[in-house]
Amino acid sequence: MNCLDYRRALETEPDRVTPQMQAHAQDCAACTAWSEEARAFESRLKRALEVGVPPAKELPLLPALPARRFALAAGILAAIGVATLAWFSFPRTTLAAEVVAHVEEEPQSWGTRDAVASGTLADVLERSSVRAQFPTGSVTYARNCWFRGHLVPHLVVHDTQGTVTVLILSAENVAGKVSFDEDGMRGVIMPAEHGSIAVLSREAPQVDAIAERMREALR
Amino acid sequence: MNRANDGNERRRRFDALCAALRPDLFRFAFWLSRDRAIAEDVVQETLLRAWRAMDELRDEKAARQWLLTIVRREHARLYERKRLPTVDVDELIEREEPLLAAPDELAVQDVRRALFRLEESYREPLVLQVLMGYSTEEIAQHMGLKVGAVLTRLFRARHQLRAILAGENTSAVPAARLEST
Repeated sequence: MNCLDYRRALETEPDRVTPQMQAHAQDCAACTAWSEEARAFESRLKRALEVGVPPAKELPLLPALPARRFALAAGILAAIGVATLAWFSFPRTTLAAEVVAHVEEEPQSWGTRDAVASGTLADVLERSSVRAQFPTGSVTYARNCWFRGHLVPHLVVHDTQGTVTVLILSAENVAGKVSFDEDGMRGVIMPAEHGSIAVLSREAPQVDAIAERMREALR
Repeated sequence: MNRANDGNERRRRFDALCAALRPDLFRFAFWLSRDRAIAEDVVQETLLRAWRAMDELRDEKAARQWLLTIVRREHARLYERKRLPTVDVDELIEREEPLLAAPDELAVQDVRRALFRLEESYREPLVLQVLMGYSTEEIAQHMGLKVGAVLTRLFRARHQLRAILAGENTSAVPAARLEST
């Protein structure tokens, strides 16, 4: 083994030192010194990769998994149940419930009164391929969230008639406007130019009127 | 009653797995995306998928590799679904500065910034090897590559990393894709 082979091997698999490599290092002071430096580099690399981990988000309520022996029967019953519910009340018990559940997962969204920087808001909208124009300084929370397999803008907007949460659901088409009242939140889901928009609030009594303005803000 | 107990036991096992493995999942997702918010979303989506597919996990000792595979898939799915615009890597670094500038020594921070500039095809095997302790064969299996290709990437990864740290102009480093929050 020559120096080149030794160093190449060490740069590829630093933890794998073969007898040939050991033999070479014993006879080569330059490579021994080089391996010390390589070890220090590996240590720095490992520490660099160990970035801080943010606190865990609360997982959404996970659907209960039935015991395996009941899985098939339960699955069929669940499918029938879901189909029946969807038939009678779509989208209230599906889309609306998921919207409410999602918003409840991010209670910190209501906690800030500082307006989101216009650049940040533009980034959030752009990442979801959404165009919208909200009054300057009215948005206090803006981020892209996973929702039904898509990255959607999740905003908190301060309207003259109250504060609302807005989810812009470009991939969700609804037949018409649906009002809902779930877990203390009132809201509407209505068709928008692309997909739909969900607007909900705990406090604003005029959600319908605000929702219309939010829809108009989409371009 | 037994079904309820089964469900509780399953949830307890799952929570324990999540608590133990979440740091690894987050760090892997972060170094794939170089975006803390995306990494958090990918991990969240991974855990939801894992919960739904919990029955597929026969051996909990294999949970880490199983979950890291899901992280990789979820991260890729994000790019399949969204054609995200391009942004300069300096912008990405600036955005994640609080994380990069964690209370570590300066040399470690420099390595973090250099890792941001490393090509993804080199960064991923390096993370798996150094951080996750994967063998070359395991990396090959995880990435769907031949062992020889993995060895080449690992060598080039370190070589390129050293070049970036030395301030050399590495033309192999492309502009980073924007990964969302």
